[in-house]
Amino acid sequence: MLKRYHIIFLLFILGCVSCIRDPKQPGRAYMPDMQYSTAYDAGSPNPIFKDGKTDELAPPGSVGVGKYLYPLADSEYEKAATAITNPFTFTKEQIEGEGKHLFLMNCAICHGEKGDGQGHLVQIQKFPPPPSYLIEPLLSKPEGQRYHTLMYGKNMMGSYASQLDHRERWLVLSYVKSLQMAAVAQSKPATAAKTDSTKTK
Amino acid sequence: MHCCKPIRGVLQLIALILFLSLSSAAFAAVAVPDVNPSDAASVDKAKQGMELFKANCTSCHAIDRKVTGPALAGVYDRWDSDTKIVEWVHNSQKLIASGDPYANKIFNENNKSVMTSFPQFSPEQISNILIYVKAKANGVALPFDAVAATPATGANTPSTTPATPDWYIWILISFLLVLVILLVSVTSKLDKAVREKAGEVVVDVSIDKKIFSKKTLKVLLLIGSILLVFNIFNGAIDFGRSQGYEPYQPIRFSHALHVGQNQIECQYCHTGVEKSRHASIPGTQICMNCHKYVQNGPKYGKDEINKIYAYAGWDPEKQKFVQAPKNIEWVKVHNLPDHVYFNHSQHVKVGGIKCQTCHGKVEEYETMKQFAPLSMGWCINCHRNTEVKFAENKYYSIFSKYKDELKKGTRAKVTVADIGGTDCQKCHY
Repeated sequence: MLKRYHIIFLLFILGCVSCIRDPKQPGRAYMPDMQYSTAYDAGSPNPIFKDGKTDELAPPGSVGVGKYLYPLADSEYEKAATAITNPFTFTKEQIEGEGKHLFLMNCAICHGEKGDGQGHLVQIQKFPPPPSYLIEPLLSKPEGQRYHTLMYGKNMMGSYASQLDHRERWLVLSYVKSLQMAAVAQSKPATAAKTDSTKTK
Repeated sequence: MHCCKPIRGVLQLIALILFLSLSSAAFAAVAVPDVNPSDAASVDKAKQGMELFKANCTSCHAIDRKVTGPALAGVYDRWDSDTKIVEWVHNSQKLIASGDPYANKIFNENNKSVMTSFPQFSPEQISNILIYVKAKANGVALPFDAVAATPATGANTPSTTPATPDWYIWILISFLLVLVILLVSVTSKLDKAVREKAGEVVVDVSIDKKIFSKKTLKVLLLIGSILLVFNIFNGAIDFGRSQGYEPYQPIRFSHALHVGQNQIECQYCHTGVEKSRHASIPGTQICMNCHKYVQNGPKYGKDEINKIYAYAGWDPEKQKFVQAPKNIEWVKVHNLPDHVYFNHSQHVKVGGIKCQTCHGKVEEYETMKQFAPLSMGWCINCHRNTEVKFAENKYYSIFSKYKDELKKGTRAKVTVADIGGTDCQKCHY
């Protein structure tokens, strides 16, 4: 009799605990050679290259098809003012759609949704405020220098060359410009009204 | 007494020298008045200073530590005259060229990075900034600054309450079981006592015989076998899937902190998600966008952030990269089998699917885990139910039959399955 109890209890416990998977382990596969890629996937380690990764940077001096080579070095910030100009003409729809989206994803966390330098990270005092786009000196900053800042970063800001491509950078800058123009347009009628009222007095 | 005289003279001399040197040092530094919280005028000066400081200085300077530029606490003691510090702010390069020794010293100490010139600042404005900096450095509570800080931190305390752990439920269950056994034994004893009083002869059946009677054995056998079959089935289905997989990572990166509290967009770090098949894992340069400045985490302090610095080759003391970056070997959580094709950009950019639909409430995850089963049935179910943005997307203009049907009203919606979303070769090829 005792043996039968044992078997039944074992069965019961086995039923309860069988097939419990450790969440720190990925678990097993039916056919591992179909499950796991033999080819190197992006982001996977790679013993062939010296630095051990599959995602390699382009060799220095080479430019991919359809990619853009920025002609200036980090130190040539002053030169960027005249040398770099926007080669694209975007429609208002593109700027308000794609440009705004890219701005909100990449920039607004510090620079604020309005570009006033009061993003969420600044408001919760985790990151120091960047200068506002809506007042000088950034209001009249040449677009080439803005592009240079996106490429190499400036002061506390890092480079966004890897996150945004050539077209996206100009889209973001166009959206920033539209923010500035909106702010200038908003402040102008107010000052005009003020001068008017003083005149009538 | 005679022997003491020369010593006293020497002491006096030392005191004189000390006094002179101290007072000369005091004269040499820039005099910055302390803020008196009860004096409205001085508070106002500090407030003006704060506004200027936050609008112009913080992108390079912190008060308590070196960032791009040196820490500003004590800057008023380091310069030896008011005019020089103003000159420096107006045009630092001019002062360096003039051969000022201290100007050259700090220029060389800070990687020769040129400070932006602020010729528009009046000496009074610069003095206001210094008043604010000194007050902050000395920990003076400024009324206007404190008010700004409290609501921000209050609004961002984590809203998620810690989930009840599993063992809690098990303790509860075992407690209830013990309670049941106790109650049963008490009632049986009472029952026995009542029956004995009535004159019945009660045969004492031992407790283990009662528990292990044939009846209970049969019930246990039934429950056990059902559980076993159920578990084996479930385990077999789970084979090759990893729902709930939550591996250890080389850095204890918290999505709850970065996405939940700091509200950084997913796409800020996962830049590939709208452009490529992969969402892409950010490289150290994206971490360093913020962590050049943020050196202390709320949970692990400097430990985890120092790991980023080690990988990136960044020296936080010198504020520059001193080594070649190394790869962070993150453990991939979501693994689709090799014979399945999946494209992030198709789902996120074209389909407008939220990240959370497949990845769960990542903004609440301390460590990343696999939320969805990532099984074929799960994929197909979603393809059957999800409506395609038929009208907005110009790509679908060629589907004239569906367009006509939609116009006529014979078709309510076009799902992903309708445009081939359940075909084998859509994902397997």
